Amino acid sequence: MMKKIITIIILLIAGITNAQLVVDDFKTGTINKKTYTTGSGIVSTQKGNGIVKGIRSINAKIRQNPNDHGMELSIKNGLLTMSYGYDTRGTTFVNYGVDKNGENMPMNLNLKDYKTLKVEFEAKSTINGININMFTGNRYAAYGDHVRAREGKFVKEIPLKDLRPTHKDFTLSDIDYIRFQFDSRSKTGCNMAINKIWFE
Amino acid sequence: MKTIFLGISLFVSFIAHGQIVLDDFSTGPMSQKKHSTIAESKLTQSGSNILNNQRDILVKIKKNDDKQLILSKIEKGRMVISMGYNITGAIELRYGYDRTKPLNLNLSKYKSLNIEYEAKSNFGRVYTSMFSNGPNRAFWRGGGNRTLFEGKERGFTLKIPLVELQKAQDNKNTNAFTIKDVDHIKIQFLAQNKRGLNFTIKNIYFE
Repeated sequence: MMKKIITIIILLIAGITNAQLVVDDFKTGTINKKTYTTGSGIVSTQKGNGIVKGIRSINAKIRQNPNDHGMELSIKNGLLTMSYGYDTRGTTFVNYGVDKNGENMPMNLNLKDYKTLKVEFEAKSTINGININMFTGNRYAAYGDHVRAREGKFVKEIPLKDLRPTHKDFTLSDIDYIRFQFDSRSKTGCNMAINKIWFE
Repeated sequence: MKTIFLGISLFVSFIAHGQIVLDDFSTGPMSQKKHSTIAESKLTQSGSNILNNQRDILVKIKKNDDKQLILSKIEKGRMVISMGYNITGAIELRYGYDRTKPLNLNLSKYKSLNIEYEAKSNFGRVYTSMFSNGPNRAFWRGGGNRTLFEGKERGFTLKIPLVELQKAQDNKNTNAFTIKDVDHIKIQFLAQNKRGLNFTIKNIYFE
């Protein structure tokens, strides 16, 4: 009996330790299709119960589009899909901690018990950047890296200890707003799809 | 005398390395085309720098679960192609497909078919087929060398050795393909994986 209780306690502790906080599984808050060709696109918001705090905003800034191939974006079937055409250079911004108008609405997330932010890609055509900003109020921490190209699923792991705070008042105990940036900055453009973002 | 020999050797070298340009994309422009439905679409352009003055482009989409686009255009000496995420399809260039005007190319003195890229996003196979006198076909599919088809951020030339062309035998084993009489040529650029395929080509030539 005691052995069973100990096993259950161990499993319970393991479960808590490995608990996930899903930021977005892209199964809700669908976008049928958006095409971005120039400048900063209009910010749109989507609601869904698979999104942290129930709402996200999204937009893209196109810096260069010499062949008028632009970028196509959709969110459906559990995938955020982006096709940046040949020599289209720009950034997609995905934001959490917003209201229906895209304005800041603090999430007050306590992330101090989580170790890693994970972004699962379904596939990715070329090496390009990912940038993440997390805010406590208007104080933020930043992370940036290149994400490899790969045919097939892979997870980009971002240790939360690698976030670089820009002010002493930034704290993982109170995250109000998170911004993800997915870049296309190479001649080849970049095609990619993301199926989940979560803390673990 | 030495100068004469030098001149002759340079001349011979020039002949040996002469080129036949199949298409340098400086003529026969094509405005932006957008395709997303599962279908095969044919586009035709004419131009003085296209061998036999006519190019046919087939845009083939076999699968497009995420409803992305294939965008294609030809302008200013470049063919620019963007095949979006998770499209299974192909861009096929055809030369000499006007059966009333076969190319009648004697390629026996040439070593390779060259495709000059400005850049290419990721892995994507290239197949070519050449035909003599009707259906007699020889083809090239890379000979199992996958590295030939990887993407590159910088310009590069894909060289297809003509000695690697394989005759496609028909049922009667009577394939009469000959490199001395190539009447029409097709080159296929395939997107077969989730990443789609973006690329730009500037020149196709025999050397």
